[in-house]
This record gives sequence, structure tokens and C-alpha cells, in this order.
Amino acid sequence: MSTPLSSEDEDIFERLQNRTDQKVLEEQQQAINERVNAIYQKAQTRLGELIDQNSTLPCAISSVQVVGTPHTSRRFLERIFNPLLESPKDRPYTLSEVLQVVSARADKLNRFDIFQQPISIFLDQKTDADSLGKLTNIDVFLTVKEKSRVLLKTGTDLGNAEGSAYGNLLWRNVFGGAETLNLNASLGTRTRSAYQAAFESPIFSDPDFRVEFGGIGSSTQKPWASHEEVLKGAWTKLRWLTQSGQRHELGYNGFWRQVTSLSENASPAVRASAGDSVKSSVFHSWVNEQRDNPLLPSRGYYAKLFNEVAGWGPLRGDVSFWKSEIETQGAVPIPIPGIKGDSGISLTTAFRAGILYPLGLGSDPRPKPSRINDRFLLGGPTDVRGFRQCGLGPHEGSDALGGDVYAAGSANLLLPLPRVGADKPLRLQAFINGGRLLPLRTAQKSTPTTSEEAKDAMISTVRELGSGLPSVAAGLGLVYAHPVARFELNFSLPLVIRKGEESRKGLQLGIGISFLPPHNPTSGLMAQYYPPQQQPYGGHPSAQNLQFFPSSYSSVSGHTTPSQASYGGFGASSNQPAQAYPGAGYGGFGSMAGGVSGRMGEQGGLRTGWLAAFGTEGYDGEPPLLEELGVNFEHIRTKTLTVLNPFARIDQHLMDDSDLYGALLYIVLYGTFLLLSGKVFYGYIYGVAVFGTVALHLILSLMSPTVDPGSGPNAADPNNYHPHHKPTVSNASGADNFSATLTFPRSASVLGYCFLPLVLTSLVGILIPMDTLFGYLVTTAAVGWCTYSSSGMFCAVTQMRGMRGLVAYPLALFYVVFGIMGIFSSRGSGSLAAKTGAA
Amino acid sequence: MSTENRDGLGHTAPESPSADERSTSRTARARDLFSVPAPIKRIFDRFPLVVYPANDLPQSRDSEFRGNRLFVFTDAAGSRRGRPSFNPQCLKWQAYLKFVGIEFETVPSTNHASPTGALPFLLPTLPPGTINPIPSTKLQKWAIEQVHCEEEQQLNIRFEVYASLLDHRIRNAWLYALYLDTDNFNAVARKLYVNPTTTNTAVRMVLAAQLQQAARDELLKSCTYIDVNDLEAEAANAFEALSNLLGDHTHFFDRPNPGLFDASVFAYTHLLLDEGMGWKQNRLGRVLRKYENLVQHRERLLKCF
Repeated sequence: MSTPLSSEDEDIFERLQNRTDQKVLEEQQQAINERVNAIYQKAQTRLGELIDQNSTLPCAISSVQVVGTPHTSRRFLERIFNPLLESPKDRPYTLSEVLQVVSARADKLNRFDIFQQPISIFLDQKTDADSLGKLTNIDVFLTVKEKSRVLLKTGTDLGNAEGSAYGNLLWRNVFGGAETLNLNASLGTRTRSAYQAAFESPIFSDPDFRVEFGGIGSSTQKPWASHEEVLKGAWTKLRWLTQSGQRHELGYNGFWRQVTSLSENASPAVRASAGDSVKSSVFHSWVNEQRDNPLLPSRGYYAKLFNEVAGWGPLRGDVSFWKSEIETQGAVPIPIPGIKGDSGISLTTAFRAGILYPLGLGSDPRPKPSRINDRFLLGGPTDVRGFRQCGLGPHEGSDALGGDVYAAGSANLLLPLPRVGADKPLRLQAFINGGRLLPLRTAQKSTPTTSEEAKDAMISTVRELGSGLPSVAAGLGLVYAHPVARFELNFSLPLVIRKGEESRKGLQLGIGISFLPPHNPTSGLMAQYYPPQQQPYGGHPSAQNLQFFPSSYSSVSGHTTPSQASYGGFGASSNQPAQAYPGAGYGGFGSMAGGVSGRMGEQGGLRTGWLAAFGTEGYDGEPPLLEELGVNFEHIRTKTLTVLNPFARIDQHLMDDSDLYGALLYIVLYGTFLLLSGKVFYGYIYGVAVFGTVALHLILSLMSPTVDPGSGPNAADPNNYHPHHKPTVSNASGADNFSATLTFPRSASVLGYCFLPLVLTSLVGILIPMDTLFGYLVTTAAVGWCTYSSSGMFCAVTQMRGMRGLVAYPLALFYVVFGIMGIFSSRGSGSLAAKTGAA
Repeated sequence: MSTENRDGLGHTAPESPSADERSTSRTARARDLFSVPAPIKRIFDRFPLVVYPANDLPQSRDSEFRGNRLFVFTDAAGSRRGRPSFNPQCLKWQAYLKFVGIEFETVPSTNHASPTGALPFLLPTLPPGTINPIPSTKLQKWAIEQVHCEEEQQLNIRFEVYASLLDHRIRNAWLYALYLDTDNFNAVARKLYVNPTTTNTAVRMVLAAQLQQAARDELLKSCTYIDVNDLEAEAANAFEALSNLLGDHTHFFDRPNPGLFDASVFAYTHLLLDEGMGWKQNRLGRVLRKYENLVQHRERLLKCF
């Protein structure tokens, strides 16, 4: 204990007292916080007043500088900012107007998704002054940081009978004009393989107006119709966002589809439709998203209209139709008398319908009958619940053939769970839904052959929709709206069905990006890569929703000099001055919801996010691949060295990052060395490693002290008491806390790294027989070493004192199993093997 | 169940039937554990409350015909009139089924529809409701079961030897003539195989290239490089051997009725001699015409169609 300066003695004494009295400390802290807050508020108010006073100050923007754009082209930025330099025709800008227009432009810049958020804006008054003119000249500085240009993502998705691995390469800002190139490859169990490339570029530097070119090759299993669809094609489309937030897409598709690899029991109708077809179509889609939350809406509505014309006139191709679909959803909150505010109860209703009208191909006026790839499908856990995937509509045997006309509707009553509350995205739901899916038939039940007949057939088929009750199912369930996907576990019973339709009695699990309203089974599940029917681009209503919320800039201070104000923080504090500026434009720029890209639509390219919730994909601020995977070679090296040197002091933060790659590497190496020495033990090694790790983790986490060791043991033991341990907020025991909690990955990491001596032993075992006295000795030594290192590490990481022996015992047992495996694996006298009769 | 339990308890009756019963009762009990309790099951069984008749099927055109359907390479017009397929493999089985007297209708199709990945295959009428197709490899067995004709391979030991002439020498020469001879490919193969699949030019080009590559790969399986003269010479030898085998008999192996071997030979001879194919280069056809008995054999059999 050092002798502090006398002037501080009193101070220390005071602190000692504070420390012992937690309440006083808290009060003090609160006072500090209040003070800081007050200062901040005052600064804000002052700033607000200042701007308020000067809000009508006429000024001109003399220059705009964007700092930090090495890869962005000047022309591109000029198009965005040039309009700023021209004052309105009749009169000069006022200061408040300048603020508005500048933040509007910054907002635009943000939506290109090439810069990191937030974009900071500084305004500087030109002092050299054009004082002869009466205008105040203002220089605008925008400091941006470009997002990493090349982004590589890999991951896995698991879901409704579908598992896949994917890799995605995103190249932002390809030519410096916010162009994006997205390459995507995925391999899966159902979507056997899919490769997609899409190039997207804003037009006229407008983030709301984009053009996209893309190509795709995929192979997808369609088990509901016993075939596999191989798809190759390309599309181009224009996308734009109107002022009111409605999204439009207009594009052309050319796809070559192959119905192939039929299963053994494919129905004759599917066999008849096997083969190639080319679809050449133009399409338009319009989406109006006004729901508060696309996955669990409680108010608002959603509407989508999709039209596609294929094969008609100069389009050619092999199929010819006009496809039109409408999807709507509305949600209303239901207030409960006596409960203030949102009760969390809401009623959601949805309706969708579509027709596939056959047209003549090219100059041939005779209508072409529809193909299985183009027809609608209905039913499924995320579609019309209570029916199997594509369980509605015409079936031949077990194959869903699809239909040309459909209508489906649903009503869901969502109730918050008692004790969980309305804030959590968890709801009970009661639903009733149903629909009809019909093939195009004339009144005489035949297939139309002329355009007149087609027209009559369409009329009679649409009429047929209303005959009899629709196929209906009702049920109860739980809904959980994860930010990326909605999970539903429903218990359902079919009420009305048609023969051949596949209903589902009992439990049904549904996981999807969007449920009944904006979901098309052909697209959401399988044909997810069709841009026309696709949800990949349309199915992410959240992505296009461009939800802004007021930004909260953390770094407000530092620039609050009168001439250099960071207006970012200004709107964030919603006190008086902010109201002086209608539109709240200042704080509002940028800061979109995390993960919501400013690009219209397409998020993550290929991925519909079908089960993105189980995916390993990150959201934003993507780090490089190795970092994202958590592979840090420096850490692996440090840990390895720590294990190898049993006498080294073990840093208590050594295992903070709980990296498992080194551990995995050693386990696999061990298995490989044993393989080389004669036995295949991979299965046992994995099994013992997994179960052993789980068990050891449980034991050790029970043993480790539960209290925060950063303060707990210290306070308890006067010898450890350290007067200089400042109990300030900044030194809050965050770091100590962190290392104190023994997480499972951390245990696994420790166990895996400490495996190293045994790995080395097994390496020796390749050359020297281990089933000898020498082998026993070496193995025993290795087990001891492993146990020694790991117990040391566990004690350091969990801050257990005086328990090392106790910790070491189960660890020793764990390593002994591996040691014995090494002995059995090797050649040698065979004495041990013979005794146990296991050789 | 209770009676069976009593049975199980009374160890005095060690007969095998009771042991069986015991085991079934055990499985039944195990099943009971997991099944829904009876009262709830009764309620469940009420659902769905209403069951309507099945939906119509889209395009029930080909389900109007209720006979055996043989899926082959042919066009709509050819299928209506039962014309010979333009694919030797398909024609062989089409002819065989005709020769043994099985009624069927040909349906134009593609390889994608076949369970084996290659045409032909047959969808039988019987048993009713069957959807399992019979691939070409099992067609003969099926035909024998249907009409009790003899299995020709058993009758003559030379069958396999001569069949291999067709399956290798003549087939290789055929593959070359149809797919790798540019004139023929453009005039015949494109028209018959590529163009019907799609109207799109780009896709046609891809399919044509795939087809040619497949033929090339097939030929390179048996030799390291493709020598036209060699292939044609081998085919000529094979034809000569077949001509000698036929001699002045009406059918091969001097059978009273045409059979599988006649069908196999006919499949190639007909297509090579058919004027309707529109061959640009038909050296194989010219070679074949030298063997008068084979030409007449083909003409005799053609009358069956």
C-alpha cells in the first residue's frame, strides 16, 4: 500500500466511507448524472435559442464539402448537392431553411447505404465575408465514412424442412455512384442450389429511383408436386418509391424453367408437364405498406397489386398469360375499456386473390393452357393455416397441381399473454382462415380452346369460387415476432375441406417472413428467386418501410461553439426549441432502423430470410469475414502458449472472447492423429467432448462464485481491500463482471485449448506404440498437464480461490477418457487392450 | 385387451398363437400410450365438419384416355395416328409392344418426365389408379406378364451377341450421324428434339449444345477419339452380320412372329430408311440399302403401324 499525498488523504477517507455506504454512493452518482444532464440540457437549450433567434437570418450556401469519400464519384455527389447551392428564386434561404435542406440531403445520402451512420453535418459561417452583400455565407461540411465496399457473408439457414448454406458477396459503390453488385450462392436440401447475381444502381443519384439487372440459376425441389424445378434466367427492373411511401416495380423477366427429376410416384399430370418452358414477361407491382409492424401488425394496412403479362404479342416465350394478384391486410387495435393506452389486443384481417388468364401466344390467338410452374398454390403453415404446404386446390394423388383462380382470407385475433405483457412480441392468436383454388374450367367442365371460351371459363370459374363454402380451418396458437421472422405454433382443425385437399389436424409450426397477407407460397418458399412473384424483394416490407426514428447522436459535445454547431443532437432532445422547427428534420436524418437498408427492397439478395432467424447472418456494420466468424489468430496463439507453459501467470481475461476455433482445431487434430495411429475414434471424441463439456460446464458453473467477484470477494476480505479501487461509474465492474460469468462457450474454449498436451501425445502415438509402460507414463503426464492447465484457467477465469483441487478432479476424469482412447488407438504390447478385451 | 392380459398371465398355454397375441397386445398398448384418448379422438374425428367433392383438375385432356400410355419422343400428330417414334430407343419398345399385341397409345413426352431420365416409359392401365410408371428396362418383363409371350433371350443363345451389335456399333454410328454430323443435326435433330421443347432461340441453342455434347461424351466412352470412317465401317459390318443372320427368313431367328430383336433392328433400319426424316447426309442409309433382306424386313414390319 503506497503512501498517498497528504492532500488526498481526506479524499481517500471520504471515498472509503462512500464505498461502504452503497446508498450514499448511488445518491452521489445520481447527483452527478443530474448535473451532467442539466448541463447538456442547458447547452441544448442555448443552442436552440441561438438558432431560434437566427432562424430567419438570410443566408446562402456558398459551398458544400463532403469529407471522407475516397471511392465515391464527384459527379454522383454533385448531383445530390448542387441544388443546395442555388437559393430559391424569389428570396434567399433563412438559416432554418438551410438546416432543413441540408439535413434532407444528408438523409438522401444515407439512403444509398454506402456510408456509415450517422453522417455528421457542420455549418460554418464564412468569416472572410462577403460583408458587402447582406447575405451570410455558410459552408456546409458533411463528414461521412464509407462502409466497407466488399462484404462477404456466409451462413446457414434452417427451416421448415429446409436447410441451406449460403455465401453472399456484396460490393457496394462499384463505380462510385452507389451502385451495388450482389453475388449470392446457396446450397440446400430443398433449394438444391441457387446462384444469383444482381447489379443495382440509383438513377440520377436518387436513392428512391433505381434500376436493377440480375441473373439467376437455381434448382429447387417442389415436393408438393413431386418434381424439381431448374431455373435459369435474367431480369431487369425499375424500382421507385413515391413521396407517400408507395413502392413500384416495373420490369421484364426472362426465365427458362425445367420441370425435371420427377419422383417415382409423381402423378400423371405432373409427368405431362415435365420439360422445358420459357417465360418472357413484363410485370408491375405496387405496394402500399402502412402497417406499424409488418410481422406483428397492430394497426395500419397493407396492399399489394401485382400484374404480369407473359408471352403476349412481341414477348414470345412458351407460356402466355395475364396474371393478376391482389393482397391486402388490415389491422386494428381493440381497446379494452378501463385499460389506458394500447391493450395489445388487435384484430388482423387479410384477403388475397389472383387470376391467371390464358392469352394467345405471339400472333396465335388461341389461349395457351397454364403450366404447373405458373399456376397458383395455396395452403401451408405460413399461408392458409391448418392445411399442409400447398394443401388447397386441385390434387392428383398427393400432388398439388395448382389452380388458375384463387381467393383466400383470414381473420386473426391477437391477444397479449398474461404476465408477459403487450410490449413483448409474443401473442396468443385465434384464427380462422380459408380459401379456394380452382383450375380454369368452362361451365361444361372442359378446358377452353378459344379466347371466347377462355373468357367464359374465367367468368364461370370466378363464379365457382363462391359456390359452397371455401375450405376453412380454424385454430389457436402462439405467435412470436422475432425481428427477422415470425414464428407461429398453431393448433388447428379443418372445418370445411374438399376431397383430396390436405388439411392438418393438430399442431403446425410456421416460420416465415410474412404470413398470409403478403405471402405467396410459390414465392416465399420455393420460387423465391422469381423476381415477379418474388417476395425476396417485396417480402421484406420492413426493409422498404424506411422507418425513421429520431436519431440520438451521442457525440453532441465538442462542436457546440456558436459558429460550429452540430445540429445532429439538436432535434434529439425534444425540448422546447425543437418545436420551433416543424418537420423535426434535424434529428431525423439518417438513423434508419438497424439493419434496414436504405436500398429499396432487396435485403441480402437471394435470401428471403426464410428462417433467417436461425441464420448466422449479421445485420449491419458488418465486420470482415474472419472477424465476424470470431477467428482471431493472435488469440489462438496466446492461448496455446499459455497452455504450453504451465508456469505462466494466467491472465484472467484470457478467455474473455471464448473463441472455439482453436479448441475445435485441437479436437479434430486429436481425432486425426488417432486415425493415423490406427483407429477411427472421431465419433467417440466428439461425443465425449460434447457431453463432457456440457457436464463440466454445469459442475463448474455451480462451483464458481455467483456474486460479482470484482467487488464481492474484495469487500468480504479485508486483506484484499484496495483503497485505490475507485468506485466511479466509469470503472464500473463491467469488465470484471464479464470474465466472472462462466459461459458455456468459455468453458468449451478452456477445455479445448487445454487439450493440447494430449494432442501432442497422440502425435507421439503415431510413431511409438503407446500401449506400453512408456505410453502409460506419457499419457498420464499429458493428462496431468491438461488438468493442471485447465484447472488453472478455470480458477482464473471464474475467480475461484482455494478450489483448484476440486476443479481439477472432474477435469482429470474428462481428460483421462481421451488419454485412454489414445492408448487403445495405438499399437503396442496390447496388454491393456487384451485385458479389457476391446482390441 | 384384458382377455389377452389374462392369457398372458396364464403361462400354461405356451402355444405360438398366444405368444403372437401377446406381442401384438404389447405393441397395441404402446400405441395406446401415444394415441389420443378416445373421447377427444371422437371429437377430432368430427372434423372436418363438411367435406365437399374434389376439385376439378386442370387440363384433364390426357386422362380421357384410359388405356396403357407409352411416353415416347413423337409429335402430337404422330401420337394421334400412332406413327413410329423418331427415337430408336422409343421405337424399339413401341414396335415390340405392337408386335406382341399390347394395346397402347403413344404420348409425346420428354426425358424429364421419365423415372429413369430417358424415354420411353409406360403408364399401365392396370391395376386401376396406378401411378408408378414402368421404365424401358422393365418393359419386356411387364409385357411378358401381360400377354405371356416368350422371353426371346432365353430361346436363342445368339440373341445377346447380335443385340450388342445394335447397342454398340450401330448405335454409335447413329449417334454420330444424327448429332455430330452438322448437316443432319441442323436438319433433323434440331427439328425433332430441340425445337419442340421451346420457342426461345437462346434456350434452343443451349439445348442443342447440350445434346451434341452428350452424344460426344457417349461416343468417347468407347473410344479415345471419334473417327467417322471407323464408326461407319463398324456399322456396315454390323449390318452385314445382321443381314446374314436374317438370311431369307421373314423374322430374325426364324420366328413366326416379330419379336424384341426384330423391333430393335427395325428401330434403326426404319429411321435410316424413312424418307420423312429429312436426312441431309445418310451414308448409313446408303450402306443399309445394300442389304435387300433388311430393307424388306423393315417394310414388312412397317405395315404393323
